[in-house]
Amino acid sequence: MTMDTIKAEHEIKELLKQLETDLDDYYRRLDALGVERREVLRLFARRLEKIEVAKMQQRVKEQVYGEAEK
Amino acid sequence: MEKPRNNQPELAVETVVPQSELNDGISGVFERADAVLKLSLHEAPKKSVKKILGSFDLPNEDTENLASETMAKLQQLDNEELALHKEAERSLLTKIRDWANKNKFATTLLLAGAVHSPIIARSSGFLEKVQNMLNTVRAWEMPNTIVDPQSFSEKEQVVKEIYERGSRIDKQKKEVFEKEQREKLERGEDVSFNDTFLKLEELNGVDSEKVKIAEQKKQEMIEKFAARMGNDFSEDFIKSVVNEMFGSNKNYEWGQGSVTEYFNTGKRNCVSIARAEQMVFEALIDRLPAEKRSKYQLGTAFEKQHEIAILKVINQDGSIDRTYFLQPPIPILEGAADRPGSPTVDLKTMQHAMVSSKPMSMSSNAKPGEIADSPDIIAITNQPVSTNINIEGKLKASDYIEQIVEDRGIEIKSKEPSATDKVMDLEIIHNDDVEKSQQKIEDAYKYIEAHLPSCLDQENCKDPDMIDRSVPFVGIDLSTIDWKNLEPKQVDEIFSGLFKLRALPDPDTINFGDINHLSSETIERIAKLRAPEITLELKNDKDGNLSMENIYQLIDIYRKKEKEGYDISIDMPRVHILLGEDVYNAALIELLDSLPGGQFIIDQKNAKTRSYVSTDTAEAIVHSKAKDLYLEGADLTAEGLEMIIKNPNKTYHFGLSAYIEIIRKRPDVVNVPHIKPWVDKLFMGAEIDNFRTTTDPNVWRKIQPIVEKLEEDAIQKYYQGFYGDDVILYNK
Repeated sequence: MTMDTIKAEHEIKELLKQLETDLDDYYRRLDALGVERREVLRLFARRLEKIEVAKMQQRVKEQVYGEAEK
Repeated sequence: MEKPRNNQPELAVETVVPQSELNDGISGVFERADAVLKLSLHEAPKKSVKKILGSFDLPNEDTENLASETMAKLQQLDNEELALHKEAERSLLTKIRDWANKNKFATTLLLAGAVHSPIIARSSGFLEKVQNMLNTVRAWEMPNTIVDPQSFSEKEQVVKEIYERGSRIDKQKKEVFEKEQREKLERGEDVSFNDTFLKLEELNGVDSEKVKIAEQKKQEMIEKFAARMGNDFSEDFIKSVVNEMFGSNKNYEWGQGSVTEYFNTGKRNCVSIARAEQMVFEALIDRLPAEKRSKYQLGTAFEKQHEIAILKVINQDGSIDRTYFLQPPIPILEGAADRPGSPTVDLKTMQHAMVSSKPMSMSSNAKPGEIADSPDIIAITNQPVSTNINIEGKLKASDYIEQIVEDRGIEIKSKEPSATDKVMDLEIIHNDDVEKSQQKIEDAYKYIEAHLPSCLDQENCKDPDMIDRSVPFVGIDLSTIDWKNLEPKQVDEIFSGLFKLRALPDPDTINFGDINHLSSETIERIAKLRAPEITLELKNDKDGNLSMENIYQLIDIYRKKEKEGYDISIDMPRVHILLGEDVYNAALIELLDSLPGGQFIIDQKNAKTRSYVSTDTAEAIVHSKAKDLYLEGADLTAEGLEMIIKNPNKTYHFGLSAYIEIIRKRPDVVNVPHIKPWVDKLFMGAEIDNFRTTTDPNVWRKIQPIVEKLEEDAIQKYYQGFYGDDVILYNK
């Protein structure tokens, strides 16, 4: 190995280290977005569930009280 | 044979990453980049929302607002993600581009690593962008065995040429031209090879002025041959064209792959002369009477790491009458052109492959038959235009190459894996794993053996300096052994490897770890080692207390030896003390006061924050009886430095970080004989850049040669230095 090659390899290693650090950061930020996305969908499902439960309760109420009123 | 000591002493436990790991590293980083930058596979917001809605039985009016609110939020997240992808890509590419502009040779090596890594096959775009951005050519060969005639420096020169050519490529123009040619060929238009190939070389960065001259020379050559060819090609005529194109020297120059180079200088490799012959014969066929032209078909025959232009003579019924192989001695094959392990392809197909975005694939077994194994050749070729054909399967060895190799007396050898391929790793040794530590010791000696110069005359080869310089830094790291919990028998086993008599230089250092984990018997033993240096850590225990008992035991052994009349600076291993960062100043001063007249290293490199040596410590340094004192990890104040300059009672060796700080403050120190640099680490790249940019330009001009020399010394110490891959023979 000559001096030029050794220096070049060292420079490549330095670059790769920098890129690795940047990539770690991007990974973290992507992960955070993924978590937020799942949370949005989970909340959406929960709110739908609540609406469904409320509707069911409403239906039951209507059936019970409606019958009684008759 | 004891390893002679270097003038510049060593620091333990620096590992050098083997070259082979570099390509893996490159692959790894680009694979990760590729993965990060791939658009995520989320469903569209609408689809996700619809899917969830599907599992509920709710009327639209009840969910409409909530669904659109959710979709808007998801869309916003998608937009953020897209922006993040773009930001990441832009930032990474900018970083690589800035780096590439600064480190041109390294760029070519990086590209070569990337090109040869498996990621290229499954790249989803990022690497391609990196490649385009680096603006460098794709094809150069780096097979895996050893052969002359291309020396390492010749290979490096070729790499430089590749880079220079790569920097001239206008990618956009090149793509437009290739697309035009592709479309013409697909429409069945007759595209002349003569009109396209040199243009392709120019678009791939070959100097346009040189291409112009090559075009003229090519025309002159064609005119010369056309003037004597008559109405048809006779066998003599074909042979005379080939022989004249090769000239009196029939050999190939492995690095030269451009047809421009061939026409201008005559230098060629098999690829460039094959293309040149195809151009010349194409032009000559065009000048034949119309009815004769279809009789000839040009093409290429592939062999292992070699190709040959061919001229097929076609019978009226379309069968092949015979094939001329257009390289001296111009063998002729009757009938079909393909041979076992040597498929052929016609010129039109080649033209198409050359301008295609994806490589064309073909099988090596165009004709069945046995194909013998053969060694590879290491060659790097500056080849502007790739044939762009992948051949799957085994190819036959080239008779021609074998002949040249025989004529030149070149030895082709298959490279067996050897100790030089791998610097021993410093993996953790468990306290019950004595075998591993023994293996580590043996590996170190194997590594040393592999780096010894080969000698024709054994006696004269024992020149200690030469041997020392030919072996890169070797450290044995036994610091991870749990010495406290080893059975005495196990300690014996480890030391049996260290005390074994060998006809080899010893490793530069042996690191035993925390001295307070060593038994009194072990400390006695390490003082008897033949190694030039032993490394020990001195640090507080887990409760924050520092015991000096063991280090003083070792120092006492040295003191006793000194009293017995030994010159402990020569006869005993240098003691390298890695000082824990919590060790208080008073303990350091006490330690310095206790040192006898030997060689000692006080190494505070592990400290998180670099500090200044206090005045009382500087006084202790100056007053210490050590003959050679090596210091690193703390900088000297102007006052401390002045004290050291004025006290030439010992030689002070400063680690590279400390030394460059000293000469930045006082460039005149380079002429102070009792203050010397200690090459204790690799010192290159960004570290030197940072130092340069933070140094006054006037001071930098003064110390630049010293800094560059230190860089060279560090490389020489931790790598194989200037001897490269060559075998050193000395038989004075």
